[in-house]
Amino acid sequence: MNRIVCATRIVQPVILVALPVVMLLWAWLRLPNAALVTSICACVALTPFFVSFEKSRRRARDLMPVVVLTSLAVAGRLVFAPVPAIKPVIAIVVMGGLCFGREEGFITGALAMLVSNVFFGQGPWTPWQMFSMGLVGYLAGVTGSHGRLVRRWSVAAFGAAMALLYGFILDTWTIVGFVSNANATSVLATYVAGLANNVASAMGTVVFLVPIAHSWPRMFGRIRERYQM
Amino acid sequence: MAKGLFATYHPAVCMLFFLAAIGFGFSTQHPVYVALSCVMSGAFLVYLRGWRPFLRTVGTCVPLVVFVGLLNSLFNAAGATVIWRWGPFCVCVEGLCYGVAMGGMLAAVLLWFACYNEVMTEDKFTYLFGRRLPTVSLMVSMISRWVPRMVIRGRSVHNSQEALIGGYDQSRRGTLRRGVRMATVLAGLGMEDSIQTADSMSARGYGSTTRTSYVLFRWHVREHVVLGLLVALAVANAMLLFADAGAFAFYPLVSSVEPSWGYATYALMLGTPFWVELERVRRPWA
Repeated sequence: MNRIVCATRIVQPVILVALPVVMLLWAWLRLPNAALVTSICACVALTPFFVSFEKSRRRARDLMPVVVLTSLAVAGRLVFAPVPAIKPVIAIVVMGGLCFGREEGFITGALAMLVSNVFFGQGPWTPWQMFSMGLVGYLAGVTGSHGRLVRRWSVAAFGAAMALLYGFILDTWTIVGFVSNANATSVLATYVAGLANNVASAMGTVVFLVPIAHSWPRMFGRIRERYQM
Repeated sequence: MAKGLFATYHPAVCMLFFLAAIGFGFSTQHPVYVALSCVMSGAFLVYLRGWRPFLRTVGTCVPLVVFVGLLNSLFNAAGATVIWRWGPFCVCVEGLCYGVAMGGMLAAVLLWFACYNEVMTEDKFTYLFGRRLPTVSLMVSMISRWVPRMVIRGRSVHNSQEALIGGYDQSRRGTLRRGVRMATVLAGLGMEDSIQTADSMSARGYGSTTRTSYVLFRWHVREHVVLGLLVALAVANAMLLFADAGAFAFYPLVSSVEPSWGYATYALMLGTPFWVELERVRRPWA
């Protein structure tokens, strides 16, 4: 393993914590141009993940789980486009992190948002959606590697928490980037406006995760064994 | 291929233009700059796609823009001219102005992104970043190929299951169970298929050396000229726009709008897709 990969792997968890802190500090100190600066920061935060994925020289077949899961997530987001809030994306990304590790999970989440926004519209939100969804996959990988996420209901509860976290990060970014002189009322108003959406998304994730929580890891394990990945 | 000469320019020039338009658009709420950005992005989108898609894009932006505008004007007590107060709500003229400016800024950026989607197609993106990030750009193009394939596969899985099993229970539970089974089948099938694709790629030498790329875009004299002008305009804007934006304040009272050269340079910079058409004067066939 080369040095860049090692360095970026150490930086990754730091960045995951640092980006939200920078965003909140920017809002707290009421510094100008929050929308632009936070978007640039999110782009910067994505680089160590993509660089380490790029430099780790994976074999072609090791890229395939990410490709397949990401395209399934994008197709799922497209199929469920008419239904508001309920999407299988978070469930699939959680499964990606759980079965293939934290880096794969991050890349699955980030790429799923990047590619699906080609259909749903790229915007200033793209880097933040990529970051938050990547974080979901990364956390699933970390929690899964400690052998925590085995029982059906613990996976489902984890998925629900991740859906709420994803919504919370994006709502917070809306406040930081687009609300000037934010006070308690406007902050509350934004969270309340997003609440129904986030709760529906969490419930949808639970509904998708409960039936696949056992079958998918088993299936992927079988494939991994069969193709010696 | 998007309409207009601008889309035929080297992707690096297009990318720089959009970075400048979106970056500057994001960094000020000065009303004149916001209005210029809105008008230019709207005009470019109409030019690229026509009126009807333009109106559709505007329609999808409206809820977000209105939400942000209201959020900024309804809950903000920093202005001096209060017109209405009720409990937590305090509406002042300055807050309303700020809400309109912030909504306009967001609308302009969204319209620029819509233009970006039209001009910077995926091949140009891959061309720009493909050599720097070979693995990731390969994955992005594979994913774009796999998404429609997943949908088509899903349909054929659905058809064969319908033929085998016959009458479905149409309850919500049954639909969910079918959907989950479909996703599982697609994931397993896709995984096995893609591993074979990967093996075949490796057998043909994928990853054995650095990737080369078929160069579709040439760097002509016009790219030099437009790039130079763009950079000059961007530098001029960086000075003029930030000076004007710094001098302008919404609170406690909305300052008056002073005339500035910055408006001209900003309009010229954002008008790049239009003035590059002057090339047709010399080369009408272009």
